[in-house]
Amino acid sequence: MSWDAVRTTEDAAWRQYLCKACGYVYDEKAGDPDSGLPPGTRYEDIPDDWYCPICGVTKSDFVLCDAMSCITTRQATTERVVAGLHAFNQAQRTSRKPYLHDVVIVGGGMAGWALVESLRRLSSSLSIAMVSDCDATRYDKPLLSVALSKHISLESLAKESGAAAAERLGVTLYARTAAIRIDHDRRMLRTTRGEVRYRRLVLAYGVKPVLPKGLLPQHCWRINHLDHYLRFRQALEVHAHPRRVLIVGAGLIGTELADDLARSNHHVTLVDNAAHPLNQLAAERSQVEPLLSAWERLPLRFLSHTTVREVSPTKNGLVVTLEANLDHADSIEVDHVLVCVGQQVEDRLAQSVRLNWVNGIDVDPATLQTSQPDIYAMGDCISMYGKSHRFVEPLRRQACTIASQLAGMELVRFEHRPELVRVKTQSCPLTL
Amino acid sequence: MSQELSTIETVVEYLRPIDAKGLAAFAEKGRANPGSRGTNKVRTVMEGQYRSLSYVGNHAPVVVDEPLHLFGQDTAPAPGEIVLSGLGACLAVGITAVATWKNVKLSKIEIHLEGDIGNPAAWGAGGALEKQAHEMGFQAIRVKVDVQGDASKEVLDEIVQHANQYSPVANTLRNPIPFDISTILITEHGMGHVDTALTLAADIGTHESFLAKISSIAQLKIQPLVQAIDQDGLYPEAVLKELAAAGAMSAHLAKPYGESDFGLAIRSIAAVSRVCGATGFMMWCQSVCGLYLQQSESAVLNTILLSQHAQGKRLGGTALSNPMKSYAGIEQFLLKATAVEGGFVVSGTLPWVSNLGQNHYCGAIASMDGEDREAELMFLLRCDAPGVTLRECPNFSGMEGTATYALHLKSYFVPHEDVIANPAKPLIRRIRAGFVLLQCGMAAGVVQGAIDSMWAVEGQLGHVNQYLEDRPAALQAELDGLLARILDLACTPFDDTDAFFVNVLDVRAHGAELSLRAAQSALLHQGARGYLMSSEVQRRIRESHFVAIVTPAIKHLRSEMARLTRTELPA
Repeated sequence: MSWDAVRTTEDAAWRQYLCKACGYVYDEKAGDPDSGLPPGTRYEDIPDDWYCPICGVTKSDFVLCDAMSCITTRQATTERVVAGLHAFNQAQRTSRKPYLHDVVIVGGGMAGWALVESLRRLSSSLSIAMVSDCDATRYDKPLLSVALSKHISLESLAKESGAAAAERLGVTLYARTAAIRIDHDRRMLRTTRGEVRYRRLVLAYGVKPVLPKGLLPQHCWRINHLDHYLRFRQALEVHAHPRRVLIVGAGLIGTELADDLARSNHHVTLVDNAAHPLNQLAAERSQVEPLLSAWERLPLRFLSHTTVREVSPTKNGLVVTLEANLDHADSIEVDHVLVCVGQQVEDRLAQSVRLNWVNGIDVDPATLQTSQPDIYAMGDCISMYGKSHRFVEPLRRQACTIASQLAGMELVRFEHRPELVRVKTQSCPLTL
Repeated sequence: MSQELSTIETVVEYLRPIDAKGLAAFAEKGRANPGSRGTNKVRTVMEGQYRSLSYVGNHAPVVVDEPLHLFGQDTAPAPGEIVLSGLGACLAVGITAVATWKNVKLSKIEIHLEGDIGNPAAWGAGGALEKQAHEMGFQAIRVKVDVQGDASKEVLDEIVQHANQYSPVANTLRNPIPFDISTILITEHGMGHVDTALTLAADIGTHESFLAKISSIAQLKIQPLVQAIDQDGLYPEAVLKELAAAGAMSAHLAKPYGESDFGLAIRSIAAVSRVCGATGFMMWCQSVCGLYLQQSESAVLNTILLSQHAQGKRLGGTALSNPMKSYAGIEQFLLKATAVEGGFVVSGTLPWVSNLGQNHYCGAIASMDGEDREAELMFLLRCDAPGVTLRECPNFSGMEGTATYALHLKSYFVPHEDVIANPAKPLIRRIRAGFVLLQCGMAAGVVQGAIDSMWAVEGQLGHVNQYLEDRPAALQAELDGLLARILDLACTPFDDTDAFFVNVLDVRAHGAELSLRAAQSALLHQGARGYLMSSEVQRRIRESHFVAIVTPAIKHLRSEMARLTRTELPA
């Protein structure tokens, strides 16, 4: 008790700074020892050439963490959280009907955990359940596209196991559980491990990568998740020597992964049906010219105006039939195919309760409420005015907005801000 | 007495009259709407040689053959004779109608018909091919009518001429008629069968009257037997056949010119399951077996046997529990098939297959030996064929009268014409949603029956039952919502996408979970009387357990939903 009290006062003295690009929080108390900043390094003392350990942007892209301080009126102590969890467990054991959770969150990614943290800052007594189709391991997603060249070990990608985070934050975690349908009349979420009863529901289940027609899932990697990334890396590193990797789609993810793999000496072929990489973000080729020049020194070739017609297995790997300019086909042999052509929001849950849908779950831009009462949505699965904004930066602010309403406090309105897109290509970082 | 005896006169036995008022009303309708017309529909299926079966509605088929000298077997009239039969029948109808209109009672109509016909063109098969259309077919038709009744010869003669003038078939033969003939293309998917399926169900009228009829059969014929079916192993074969003949297990099979209706098939299974879960389960067995027959590529199975099956003249089941679990990666295939000349040989043992009997059959799947290791064979397993042994199962906790046996196969021969699908997977993918959706009828019926039992004691025990969870009104609302979703999904039973199937698996799982809750709550509502061994809520608890554990069980459904919603990546 006394230890916590001390820590709380100390914490108040230390400040936290949020990376606007990726959401990484620089905590003055913890510092960034890996990059030479010992614990206790004040923000003012950080040298200007220091960069975000996650996404590589510089100090000027950090802001004081006001999103957090706006809701610190009722700091929860660890004891209170644990006490709440204990009471919840008791209730769970004695009730015949499924336990009624105050809040059920669908999705165990950065968005879901950001909401749990925001909620726990406001209330230790709200009962929270999280339904996640993976283990809900906590990790920083932007790191996935820089992990190789930054020599981040696979073990250290995971910050905290889902089970440990759930324990620490007093959350009932339904891990590896798929949410199938929302029975909103009964306030019941139907899942592959039975029904979960809620008062309020928050959808934060993200997106799934698209696999173009004609390509088979057993031949093509798609990375939108730590699990997927770990499996890809393990397959990649079965052999010690460089592998041949084809990356389909030169959007943000494809371009960053191509850069990261090539910097680690893998032989990368990046194809896109556009004239230059990142063409959704950069209309002019000149904007990406520095990157293309940097790539000349890497084992990376970019093929424009090219699509993949077929991927089929051979003894030594995969044979890929490429079609360039729609007139001539070419075959190349590679060890891995990585598809990064886009992402889509699954509509099953939203449809089951007829949520308004415009390229994603349509939410009120100020409150993040969906078209159904008591259902909120945040993160990659939402759209505002018909547009999706799949970046890390707004997640904490969205969490803050939803948490303020779930905890019955004054609404913290969400404000949409123009995105700052940092392309984390280590050989030549870009801002678009 | 003696007086009556003294007044004996010649007794004239009149022909059974028709409904004169109905006829007048029909005539009135025709005057008001002179352009009205319907369509006659017949499906003719060649059996072999020159013998064919023409199916009309739910009637016994009209058999047609050719005489021996024309290479037929002379087992039935020839086509031309059937045309004359149609003419004779039509004239007889017309004469009856006109006589009724003119208030003339008839005691006899006998019509003698002759048609002059030759076939030197040999049906166009290389005979006198220079023949013109007008030179072929009937060249003259002569009709003599022997008609007797309460009228003068002149009046009777007038009636006959009038009937002839207005006879639909007589005019058909006199008129040139626009006549269109084309071939039906069977699609690769075999879904062309929707166009070519037989008359499978009775004309069922409106859905509600049809369901009322099914419910009344359940109430009158099954209700008295429920305890014996559940506990004593009574197999209600006669009622099952009656239900099938009424169309209760074939609404989902396409009728000749109508749409198949999975929703109606589900609702009819629910109507019976509300009374008896075991009988509802056997209806599902029969219904899904019909689906296999209909979707098979074998003409032997998808025509004549399908028709007999749909009408309940033959009964069958489904042995797909093991293969369904094998496809989901839960079990190994228990049957093994080897290709041999003329077909396949299958061996192995299946533990529990229901709705079986000595002359029954079921759809089954065996994994192929040898080169086709990855493929499976789906076939019709005939219980009376050599190499099959039916063995009694140990006692179950309920649903004993479901004719459930272990099937032992030793070198069982599957002729090519009994192959339902090879490979089996594409067919399974096509029918998997329908298979699971039809099961939802069982769940819906068991839940409804449980709710009925709660209302039954509400007047007496409502004052204490109000303290229970899962009250009948709340369960009814949940069931209604669930059934609406089931019927919505049943509109597109052949959608084979994973996204659709996940929704189908979810309604099936929800049905099973709701059955458990409803049956449990019905027991709590009834209290001590519900604890009697003979209580219907006791039986429903056993039925609800069955709904929850029969393949796909709740755990299988969830495991499959988890599998289908996972992102598949390279190994």
